[in-house]
Amino acid sequence: MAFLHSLDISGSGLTASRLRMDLISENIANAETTRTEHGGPYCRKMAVYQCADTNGSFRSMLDSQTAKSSGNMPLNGVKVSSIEEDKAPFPVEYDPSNPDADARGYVQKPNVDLIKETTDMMAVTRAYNANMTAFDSVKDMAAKAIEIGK
Amino acid sequence: MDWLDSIPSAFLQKDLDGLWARQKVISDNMANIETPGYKEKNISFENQLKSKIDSIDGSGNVPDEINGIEDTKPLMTENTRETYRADNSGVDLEQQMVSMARTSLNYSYSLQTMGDYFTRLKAAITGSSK
Repeated sequence: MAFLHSLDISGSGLTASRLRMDLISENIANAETTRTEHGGPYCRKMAVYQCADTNGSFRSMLDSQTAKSSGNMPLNGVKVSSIEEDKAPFPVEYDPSNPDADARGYVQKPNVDLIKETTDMMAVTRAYNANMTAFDSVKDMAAKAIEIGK
Repeated sequence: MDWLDSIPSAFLQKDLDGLWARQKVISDNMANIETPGYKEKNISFENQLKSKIDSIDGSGNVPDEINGIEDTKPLMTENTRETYRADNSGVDLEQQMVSMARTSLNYSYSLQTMGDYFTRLKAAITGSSK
């Protein structure tokens, strides 16, 4: 619905923040995991954000360009385009008693940095709150608009 | 011409439309606050309305003036100059928050004015303000 489309925009921001928060939780939960399905230690996961105005297809590019000149705005908020794995090398630790230790006694640990995850978590919380405030503001405006002429 | 249409109500309608569009753009900016390479978008419509107000001197006929007002469109611009983060993102959260509060208040103010306009119309119809 065109009238309350603004709420969807804020909603997309909330959804993206939530997904990012899920990934952070997973990273923290697996900060010590040395064995995964694919073998090797757990690899840190990250969400890639993309502006949802255009998704690179011809159709969306055409729409966005023609809409700009006619005053209509193709604003669709944000989306998570993919979930990538951190390419940083796994830190190694000398621990011969660990069942996942190699022949020389070294264990590959996940490339999860707890401090990095915590700061990311704060950034996500802030973004979530900002979207929530925008959502509330639009909601209030719409509620007041209903009262016109009363 | 509809008998309810008038120059003030046309202006108010455009004002409300413009403010709504601005709020939408602010929502989009906030949703994309963490998107790398995203640039802040802005809406301008006040200047178009202002120049329309200045051009109306009472000599033209009302339906034409109203059509002229209704033809104005909010203009969307992208602020490509500012960059606030290393990933090229260009959204200033604080500024967006201020802009959002201002837009919301402005919207209420214009709605109030619109309401008053209808109240006066009602008074003219019924002969009382009740």
